[in-house]
Amino acid sequence: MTDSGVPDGAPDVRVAWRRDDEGIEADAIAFWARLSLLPEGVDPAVRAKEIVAGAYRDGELVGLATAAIEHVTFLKATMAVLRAATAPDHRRTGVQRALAGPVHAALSDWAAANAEVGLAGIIGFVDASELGDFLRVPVWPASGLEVIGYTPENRQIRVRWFDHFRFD
Amino acid sequence: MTITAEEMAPDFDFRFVWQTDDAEAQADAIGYWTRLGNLPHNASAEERAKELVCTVRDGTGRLVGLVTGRMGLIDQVRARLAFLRGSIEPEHRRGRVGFALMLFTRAAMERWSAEHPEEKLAGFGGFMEAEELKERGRQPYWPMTRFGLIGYLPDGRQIRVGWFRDFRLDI
Repeated sequence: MTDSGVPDGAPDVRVAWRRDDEGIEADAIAFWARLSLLPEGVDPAVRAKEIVAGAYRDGELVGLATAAIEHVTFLKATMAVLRAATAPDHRRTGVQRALAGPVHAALSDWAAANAEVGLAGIIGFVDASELGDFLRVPVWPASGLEVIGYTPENRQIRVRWFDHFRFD
Repeated sequence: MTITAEEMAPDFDFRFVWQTDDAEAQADAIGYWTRLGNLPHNASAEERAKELVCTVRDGTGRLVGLVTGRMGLIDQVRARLAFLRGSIEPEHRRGRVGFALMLFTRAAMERWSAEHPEEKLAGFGGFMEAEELKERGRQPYWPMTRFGLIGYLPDGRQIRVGWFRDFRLDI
């Protein structure tokens, strides 16, 4: 247990990428509403179709990873743009660390099976305020996400390329 | 599993000579470039020899390959990186010694960076000609050397970075 009483064991991870899993989609919509996480104008039902995986503790959704497939001009590549959210009372308890491997595997396997999409890897944009000293680590061990630059708003840009991908 | 340079090319002698002012290694490097005629006309062999990072010799002690390097900043990642140039004698280019030299250099520089934190050397950087890379340029991440694509220069060359895992960025 953590000091605040939250269990710190590895959560159960449920992969949902392109599975139309109505259960996790409903849990995610409730999670976003409870924590007011979605920006105005974003349809939760549409965002729910982008769920890659969710992390559960005692049957409650406590962390989520979603991805949108977009062309990233400066990399000349189609990438899965990753978004991650963790319930505040479960932060720093290994939720995103537990999601990292399954998220990478789900997207990489899907990319290999759908080569016509040309999905090259995963990209994430990280707020400096969110992770503190962890931003100083150039390659995150659990996810393999590496620093490749910064946005004008000073968000760190991290990428992990898929092993099987080759440019045309 | 990680393979070392010595395991990959056991008949060769790899040495790390970065910033050691090793006069013998520098003289041998100048002899190597003269023999192969592979330095650009405007490059000074003596100056380039001061940038020696690693050498590799065959079983007779003859220098058959080398790596030189300079440190510089890639603004995009806000980090100081080592930019390397490698050369292998033509007769060894089809063997494994060139790749082994690259692995040796990577491991030695990573150790050097950890032992000299004041230098703030974060990893390797490189600007790669697509033509020179051919098939390898299509692969955005090279797992053996951990060299990954981070973007392109205006002239189309790839920008690649390989981070030292234990380095910590200044944020």
